Amino acid sequence: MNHPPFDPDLPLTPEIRAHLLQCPSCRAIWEVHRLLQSAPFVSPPQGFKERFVKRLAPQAPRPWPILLLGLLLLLSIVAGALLPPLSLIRLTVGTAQAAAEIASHILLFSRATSLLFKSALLYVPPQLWLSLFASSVGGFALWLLSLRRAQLSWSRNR
Amino acid sequence: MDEITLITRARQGDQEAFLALLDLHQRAVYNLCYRMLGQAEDAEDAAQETFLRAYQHLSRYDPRRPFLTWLLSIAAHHCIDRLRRQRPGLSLDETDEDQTLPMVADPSQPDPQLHAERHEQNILVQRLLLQLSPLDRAVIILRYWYEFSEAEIGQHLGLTVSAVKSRLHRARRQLAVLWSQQESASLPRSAYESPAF
Repeated sequence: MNHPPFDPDLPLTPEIRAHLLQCPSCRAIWEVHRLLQSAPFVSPPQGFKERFVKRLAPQAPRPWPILLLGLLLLLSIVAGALLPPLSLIRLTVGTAQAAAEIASHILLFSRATSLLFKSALLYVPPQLWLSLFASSVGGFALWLLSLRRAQLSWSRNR
Repeated sequence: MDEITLITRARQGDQEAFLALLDLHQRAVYNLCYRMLGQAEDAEDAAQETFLRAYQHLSRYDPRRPFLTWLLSIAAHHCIDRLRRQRPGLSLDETDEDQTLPMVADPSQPDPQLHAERHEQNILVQRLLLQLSPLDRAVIILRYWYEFSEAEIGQHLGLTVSAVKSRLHRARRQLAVLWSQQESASLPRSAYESPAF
């Protein structure tokens, strides 16, 4: 073949027809072109849509359950510390007295915490404090990260 | 409901609207995957993955482009990646001619001989296609089955128009050589083999 490459998209002029009869390589290109033009579409097997629906089902969970779980945990810790004395007070005295009791309870709680903290500072080595602090920060960061990932995954799947 | 409404609803999270879009385009997407991969199981997986990606990234769809071309673009890239990750080339023995091709046959086709010829033709086309590199194969498929222009093919596959032209020419030549080899083998000649010139 010592001529420019044959383009089967061009209209078939009498010259091209004559050339195709003589040139086997161009004729093969033409035949392949015709073969591809007449090739059918292949349809998906039955149940394609149903299988897609099944594949779609296991979506990533929304971030709200994780967020709610964290908040519930926090609330239960706070409630666990405050509610038992509060309910005890409410059972025995009136509202004004209850408020005073709560205030004194909070004051007592803060004094106890402060005392505990000071004594802990004296007896607990600084390395342990550092590791406690680091693990708390790490845990908090992990929680935030899991929230972020869940949120991203959820928005991707919407 | 028209396609634009379905897309709008699907983007708002309406799964039923997306499934209606899938109904409209599953054949086109599946055909591309089948032509690219050559096996029914792989084609189904790739087509499902295409729709899943489309569903997950609907917010990235540009409504100025036809939805089908966006889907085909996802499918073509997915199949090319898949082929590159897999083996360098499928052997002819690995194409599942018998399992897959009944889908091609048209049940309304009354002439059994024509039916058989179409089947043979389809086997041949698939054999030839699988000899091409993944990118050349995608170029040929988009050109012949979807009638994309060279510019459109370039846009979808990240190629320049001249690169598409060159790949199209090279692929046709390669197919022609393979075709000539097939011709000399025992396959019977049929209408598509006799050029009407």
